[in-house]
Amino acid sequence: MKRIFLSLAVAAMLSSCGNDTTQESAEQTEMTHDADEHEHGDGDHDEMASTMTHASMDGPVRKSDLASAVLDSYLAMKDALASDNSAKAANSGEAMVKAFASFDKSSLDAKQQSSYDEIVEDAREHAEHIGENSGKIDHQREHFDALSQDMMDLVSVVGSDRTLYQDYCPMYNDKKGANWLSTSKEINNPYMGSKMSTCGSMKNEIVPQ
Amino acid sequence: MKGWKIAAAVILFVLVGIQWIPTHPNQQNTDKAEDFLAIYPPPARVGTLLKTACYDCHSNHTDYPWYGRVQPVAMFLENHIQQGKKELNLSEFGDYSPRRQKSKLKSMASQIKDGDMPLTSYTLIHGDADLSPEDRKGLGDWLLSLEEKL
Repeated sequence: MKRIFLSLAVAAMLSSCGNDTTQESAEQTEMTHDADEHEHGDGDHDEMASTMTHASMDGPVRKSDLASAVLDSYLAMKDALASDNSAKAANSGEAMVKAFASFDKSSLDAKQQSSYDEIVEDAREHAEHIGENSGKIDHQREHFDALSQDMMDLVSVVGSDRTLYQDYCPMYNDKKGANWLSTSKEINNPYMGSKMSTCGSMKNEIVPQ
Repeated sequence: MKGWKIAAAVILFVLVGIQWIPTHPNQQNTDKAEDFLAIYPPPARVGTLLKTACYDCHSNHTDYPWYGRVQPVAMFLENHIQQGKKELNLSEFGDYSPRRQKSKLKSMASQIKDGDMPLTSYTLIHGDADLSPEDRKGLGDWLLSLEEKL
């Protein structure tokens, strides 16, 4: 079943993605839910855009190196998944669990701490699963999807030490779409495998202040 | 054969001996207020499937087979259920944060649809928990629709 879906997805990507790649670098659209309609002419994506429910980031992200170890492991994981390297993604998952364990939240106020706890309770579990599932890259990617949402929320609570780009893959998860964070403007898609690594678009630039 | 007799006696001795290892049946009084089925009442079919295919290992109440309290089966089950509840405890679903609930619903749907759950070691014994493709789809779709509503 999954294989059939994947091959359909591949076919759809090949037919719809060609014109994306030429546009994506020029596109720096804001995080609006219908942003994709500018890039994807065909009707399939309209439905996706209207059912998207990803949270956007409110307000500026503050400059802080609190989460730098967490972000290091997240970004290594992203690169590993983009190059189909399941074992390396698993290592990054383990590194992230360690990064959470040594995270110092004492500088956060009470409200931030409770947001942090809520996000990390979930994120840690995803990181653990990614760490335990070397060899099952599809499973790792499912957790990475949810983890990416957690990372965006985490950054908005505890800040970031670097500029991040929020990228979006419209094809993943039965065209429900998925976000990820990266540190380069270049698209390096972690969801669809290395054959489609340039597919996707940047949606938001997160510059810590 | 003298050797056979000794071997049989040793095995018997061990099998009888391990029966003194205490069992910890997973049958707490479940707090209905936090139970998944109480919080998010599903359609009848989905409810039945969750009960028969998930609740034995993912809740605070297991319906054991008759040999479930015989060692070493009991040890094996206990370990299993402990793992299962750590991943997902439907009896305490209401205690999860909304974020975690959404994560769990997504994972449940994908594991069920992909055939990773219920485990084969469970469905071998519980034929009624071996979900048909239609049931997998129905259950998975309902879980995802709930996830989108949260």
